[in-house]
Amino acid sequence: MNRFASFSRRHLLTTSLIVVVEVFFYRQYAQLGAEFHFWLHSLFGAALGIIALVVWQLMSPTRPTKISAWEAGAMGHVYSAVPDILFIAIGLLHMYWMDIFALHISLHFVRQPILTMLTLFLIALLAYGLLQSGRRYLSVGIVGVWLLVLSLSLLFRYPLPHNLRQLQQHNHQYAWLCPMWDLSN
Amino acid sequence: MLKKQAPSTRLWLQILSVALVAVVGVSQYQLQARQRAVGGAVALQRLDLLYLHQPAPGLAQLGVTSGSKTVVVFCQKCRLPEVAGTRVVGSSDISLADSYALVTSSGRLGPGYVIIDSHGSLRYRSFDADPASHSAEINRLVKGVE
Repeated sequence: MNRFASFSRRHLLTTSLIVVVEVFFYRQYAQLGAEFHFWLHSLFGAALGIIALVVWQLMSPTRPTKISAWEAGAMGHVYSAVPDILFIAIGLLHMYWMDIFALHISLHFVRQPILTMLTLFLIALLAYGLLQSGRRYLSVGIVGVWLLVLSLSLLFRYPLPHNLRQLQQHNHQYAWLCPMWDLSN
Repeated sequence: MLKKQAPSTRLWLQILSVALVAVVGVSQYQLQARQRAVGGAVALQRLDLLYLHQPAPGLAQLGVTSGSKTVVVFCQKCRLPEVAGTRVVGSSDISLADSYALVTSSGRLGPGYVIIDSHGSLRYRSFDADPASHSAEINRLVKGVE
């Protein structure tokens, strides 16, 4: 049975919960003027969750999972946001090892970060759709494309600065990352 | 009367809907970013990671003495954040701001801030459009500095 398409009561419940959690997350980030970080981690976390589900289903075709793509995506988002949750909840600062949470630090330095994450998310959805439609080999190929795009984006990411000289270079060479909101508007 | 859709069609419709939500959300964000960004500036901000550890430049000019943590805010006209038990200094000196890499590629001074530990070492630097609105975040960062 197609689990994504069959919208059971459980899926309706979890989907509603996911929408509430996502809106809550967005508002929390927006209050800090950090929408950039919401999109960065939500898109990649969701993509990672969906790809993990696809890989699981490809490797265990005889053991169908009860998890929907919505749920896998949401779990991926929560996983990728763990450092931010820890920062808000208990004041734990970000550290380099927090890359274990869906590349939480490195993602900031990817070129065109939001567009790259959106691309990865859309590719993950395509892989899922193809698998659910019974096109296994095509789905495997799309998972490969997903891994390739991720690897290239990490390979060509900006270097993480460690001193003021590098920061100054970054200001001028890359004019970095997040837009600075005018909070008075 | 609507025809009952095949599961595969429903699946792709749902996937398309999710994709559309993401594309519209990101487009909306990019549009907002262009409209609301201060002077069109983009910069590394809000990393919440203590990624620097070097002697802070211009301490004498800033009137910063070792022995206590200091937050220095660089901006032309902005409110200073409230940081418990820590000295907060404001500066609009563009050359000093430049030495802290808080001048944008378009030559704009900040706004942004740096955190200096009690030994005079620079531990954190971030552009920030309105540091006073982010006092809680700055307090957490200062607390994390040894």
